[in-house]
Amino acid sequence: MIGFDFDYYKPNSIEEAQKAYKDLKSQGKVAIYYSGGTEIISKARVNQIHFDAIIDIKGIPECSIYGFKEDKLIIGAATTLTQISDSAFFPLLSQSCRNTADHTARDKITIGGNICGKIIYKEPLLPLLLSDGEAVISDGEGVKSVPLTQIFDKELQLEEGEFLIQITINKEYIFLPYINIKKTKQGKVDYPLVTVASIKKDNKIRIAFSGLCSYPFRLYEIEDNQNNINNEIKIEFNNIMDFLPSPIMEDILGTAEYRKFVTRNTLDEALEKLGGVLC
Amino acid sequence: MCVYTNHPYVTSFRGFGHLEYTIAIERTMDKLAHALGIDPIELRLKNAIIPGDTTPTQVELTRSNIGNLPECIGRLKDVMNWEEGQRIDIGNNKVRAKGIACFWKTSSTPPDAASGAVITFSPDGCANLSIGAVELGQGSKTTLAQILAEKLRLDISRINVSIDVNTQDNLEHWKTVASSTTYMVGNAVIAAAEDVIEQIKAISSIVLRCEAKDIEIADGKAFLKNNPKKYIDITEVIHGYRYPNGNSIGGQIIGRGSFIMRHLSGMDKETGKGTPGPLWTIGAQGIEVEFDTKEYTYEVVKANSAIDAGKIINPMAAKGVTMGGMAMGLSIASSEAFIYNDMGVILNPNLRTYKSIRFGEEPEYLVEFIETPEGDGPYGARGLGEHGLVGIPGALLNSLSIAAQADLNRLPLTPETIWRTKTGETI
Repeated sequence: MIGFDFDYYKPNSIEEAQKAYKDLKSQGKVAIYYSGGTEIISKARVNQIHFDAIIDIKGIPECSIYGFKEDKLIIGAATTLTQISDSAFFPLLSQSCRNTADHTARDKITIGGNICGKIIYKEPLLPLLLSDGEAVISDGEGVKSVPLTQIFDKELQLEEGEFLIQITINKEYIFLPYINIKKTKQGKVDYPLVTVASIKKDNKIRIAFSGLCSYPFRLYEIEDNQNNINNEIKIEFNNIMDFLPSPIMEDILGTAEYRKFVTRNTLDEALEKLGGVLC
Repeated sequence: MCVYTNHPYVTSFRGFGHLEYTIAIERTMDKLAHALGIDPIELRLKNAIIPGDTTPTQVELTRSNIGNLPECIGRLKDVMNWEEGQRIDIGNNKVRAKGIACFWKTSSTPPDAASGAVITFSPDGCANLSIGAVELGQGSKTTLAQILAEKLRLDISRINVSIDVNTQDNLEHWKTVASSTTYMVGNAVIAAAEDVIEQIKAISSIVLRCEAKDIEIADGKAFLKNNPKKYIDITEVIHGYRYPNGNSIGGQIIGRGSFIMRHLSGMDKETGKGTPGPLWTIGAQGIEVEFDTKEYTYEVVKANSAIDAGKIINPMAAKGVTMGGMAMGLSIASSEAFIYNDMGVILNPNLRTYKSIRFGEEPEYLVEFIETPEGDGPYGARGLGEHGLVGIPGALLNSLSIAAQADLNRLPLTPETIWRTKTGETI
């Protein structure tokens, strides 16, 4: 049970949502945007967050689009992970979503909620980072489009009052060779010890990680530090370790040393699938 | 002295104590077998406890109270196809490995643990059974209904067992623990049924003008043994028999039965002698894993049990209860544990982070029963409940120690635990 009262808004357009937020703010109320709700409900139940109102974006048509438009795949922020994992639009993304949480939770979790939430894993984000996705954002007055690679740093850098409407991906990315491997502490359903997502574009291998450090990231540095010899891409494991943006995580899922061991095996497997070699 | 801590309080959980010491014994057995160069099954067969032996607390064992452990081990050996080898390389860094463990468990009840049962009848001749055992999914009320149906020779659809237990109205049952409901309450039910039969026979013999011993009861009728056509429907006697002229005899038939543990004793402080339970249920369990020698991950492929539980009264329920125990054993052994930080705070306080195995992670289960009758048990049944769990953690440790060629003695058995043992990393 959520132990406090709050108001519920379900706007039918971006403008209505923006207005609701402004109005609530002017009344001194704390409003948060709401999509699948799994994280907000879990945290509210144990009093880890408090709000006066939630603004549900699921009634906004732009947030619920999921499909191709011209040369782009449009993924509305309110698309559930189940919808994505059951579809074949972007195989890498479908697999990432399928590897996240369990089926019951995926029916509720939306991709926008997952990316904007406090959860540190955000596995569905990895394919979007690798494929140079664009974030379409409501900025309070209008709508703007920003490359994910710019606006995502540890978390999605949204200003107050902003919310994510869509992610768009250029069609060319969805046909690229890819691999997605998730390793857990033990069971099939758990947060990752490490998840490696990888694609090959223009004869270069791009790699993104979740679970390895305390936030998901694409390791850009390694894209300029690989040797292509006779179409075999060589990547040094020690280079990857040196380029990590922060120390390897150490928590109840595994020690840093063990994560490193698992990461090495996982990268080995991933690179082999993409015509690379880990050395 | 009492000390408050921020650790959670603990309480008993299925098979408590047994699985822990069984791990120590069964790992030792495997290490001894390895050191002696003997097959682990052979070593266990040579050392299996048998009639004529005494327990550590000096109870003399008979075929009735100890059953047949060598037969359990033999059956397990067959169903696990032991002869094909304990560790088989199947390529791609994968091996299949098998490990086993034996177990035994008695009730460890207080010496005066007792159960009661009362049987009454509805006007339509259905029997109502009131007992104190709590139904928690183990199906013992079905088993008890079967026992009563068998004894009264009445169709099971005509037996009603009180499901809810209210201590004000229902009979006493010491506790629904110790894998002893069928044994204890079953005996009380048989006694109550015998009481009912005697009363029905007494009234019927007056009506049928014969001796009580001439009468048999079946299918809701009391009839003459030598001439079943001469009978009276029990609905005419269970609430008193009324003659055509209105005169009546008898009254409500109420069957009363009780059971108390026999010949148990506390443990002598000086000698350690004592009888902690009336019988042992024993068995052998085996686990087959598929282990990745590169990543130290594994999957439990098969889990097997061969248990001497005496007469199995409800085969499906017995199998289900045993499989459930095995699943719990695997979950405890492979993933369940509280994790504390330096301050003693639990880091996995909910089921999102305290992981138990999921339905999709269950192996193939195989449960075999050996049915050596227990002299005092209802129809020869032994206790059966917690047993499925007891040997599983030891068997998993043994199978993975063989698979990883490492001395694994720590739970939960996560791939990281195995990796640390293999690479010598300290924990």
